[in-house]
Amino acid sequence: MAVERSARSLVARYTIKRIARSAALWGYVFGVMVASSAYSYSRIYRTHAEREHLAAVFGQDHTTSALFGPAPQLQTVAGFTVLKVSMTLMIIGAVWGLLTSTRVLRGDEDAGRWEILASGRTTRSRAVSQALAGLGTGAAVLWLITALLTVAVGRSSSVRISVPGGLYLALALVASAVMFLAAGAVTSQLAASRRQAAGYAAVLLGLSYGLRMVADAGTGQHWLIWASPLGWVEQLQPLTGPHPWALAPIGVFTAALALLAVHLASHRDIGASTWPDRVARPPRLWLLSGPAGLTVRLT
Amino acid sequence: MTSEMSKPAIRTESLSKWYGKVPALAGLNLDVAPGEVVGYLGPNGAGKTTTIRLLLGLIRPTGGRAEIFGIDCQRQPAEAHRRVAYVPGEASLWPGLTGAETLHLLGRIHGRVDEAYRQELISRFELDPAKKIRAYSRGNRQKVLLIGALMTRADLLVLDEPTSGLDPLMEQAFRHCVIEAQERGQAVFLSSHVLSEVEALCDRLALLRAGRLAESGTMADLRQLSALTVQASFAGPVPDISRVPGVTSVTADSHSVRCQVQGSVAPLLEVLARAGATRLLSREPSLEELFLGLYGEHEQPRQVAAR
Repeated sequence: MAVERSARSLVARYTIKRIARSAALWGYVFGVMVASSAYSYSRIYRTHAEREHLAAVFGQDHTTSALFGPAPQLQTVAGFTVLKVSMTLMIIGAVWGLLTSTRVLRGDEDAGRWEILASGRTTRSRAVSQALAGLGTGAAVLWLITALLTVAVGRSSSVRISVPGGLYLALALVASAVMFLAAGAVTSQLAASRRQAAGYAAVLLGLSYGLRMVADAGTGQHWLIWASPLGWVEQLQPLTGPHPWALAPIGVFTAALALLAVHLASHRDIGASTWPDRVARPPRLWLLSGPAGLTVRLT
Repeated sequence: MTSEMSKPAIRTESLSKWYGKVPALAGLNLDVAPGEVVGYLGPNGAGKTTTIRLLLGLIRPTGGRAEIFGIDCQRQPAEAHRRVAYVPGEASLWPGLTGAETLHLLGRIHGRVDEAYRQELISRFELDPAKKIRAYSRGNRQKVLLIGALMTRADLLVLDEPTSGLDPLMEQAFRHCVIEAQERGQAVFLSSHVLSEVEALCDRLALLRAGRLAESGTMADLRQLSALTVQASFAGPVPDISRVPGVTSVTADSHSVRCQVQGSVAPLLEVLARAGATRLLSREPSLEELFLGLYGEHEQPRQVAAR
């Protein structure tokens, strides 16, 4: 006999299942990097003099600041850990976010799988909303695993990061992933292919990093930090002087992009893109002489 | 439910889709009654898949509207989808899932599964559900999509090239399933290039050309519009029939003549009888001949409304 089952939250559950393992794996990587930095600092810089020397050399260095962000309190485990991991994991998280959302949204649409999903008991916009909910849950998994490992590390007597501090640090580390999940959702509506969508989101990431870099390079244009999503994450300043209010622009930016993605999805055809795609052109035959050339061209 | 089932399974009114200045579909008026099997034919790029995607609300129309059992496909797509099961023309499944997992997912997508019938379909189509999708051949992946649609017992089956990649035995299994579905009162909207399949299964045909409905009606209706093939053999001289009204495409040898006849065959029969024909064969055009005749030669589309 026929069995009625609810199909309303199917896309959300399907998305969670697709990305949960990846999110958990990267959460583990994030946590291990935090642990590695904290423990290595406490083992390498054992004395107060060594730590003060480190802080004096790198604490005010504009190059370090431009590449990795400001380095306050380098004489502490917390300060060093934040400097060592925050920018790196911010970039990794952003890349994970944009690749994950473009894979789930644009990639599945290119493969025709989105057509199958959307032919169920849902609408185009509702399906995208559910996918975003699934992506958000994946980001929560990323935060949870990162937080568990960070809090566990913080309980060590040589590290001493408080539980609230560890949770906040984990939140700061995954904030860029959340923003670029939403950015990838928008570019998936704008672009005609997954490659294009990821490319557009990567450009946004590059611009964000560039603006933040200029802001932190000691050129007197520190105000540019507020023009960059990565700058907002930097302003969170976990462990060294938390500014939780910096979560506001992060939250507003993410929510605005998510709403925009849903809006764009409801106003375009499945398989099409918001921005016009050139469907035909004269042949460009360069590099199409074999597998190697093809690989170069596609890359 | 009775009042819902009295509404057409599909109704389109001036349904159109333009891509810039190019009409992918122009002014389609089409009805499919509950329990009816309608074949939807046309050359590549005629607008068949565009029509299906409009019906499912996957793309937005430029004009007109479409309803499934009285439910507007664009305004209430989720509600319309409750009554529909869809087999896409080309779609990649999820390579890492097994056949069983994919069928489970497809069942969840539709929200309704006849579990016993699903097992029967898996047996009929000889599918090994334990294998991963990436281990299946093209035909076996198509079986997964077919089973996924049929197992829902949906009131309307929308099938886009459903037997693509299937071997003749599985095509036969599919035909039995469609016949059984029709006997259960399910409507079927079948877009296919397998003309023998369409000819065998469909109550009515709708032929699309360059985005417009060129012909629609039963096979009998369509055959009346096309020419009858007549072949006659003679013991003596072969008569000249090239000037007989309605006769075209005459080919003759020393003892026989072959021609096409449109309209009444009476004038031709009279000439053949007077010439002493010893053998007479006539054959109605097949769907393939109708198709080739419509798309190969005709410049102007003819409109035949037969519902």
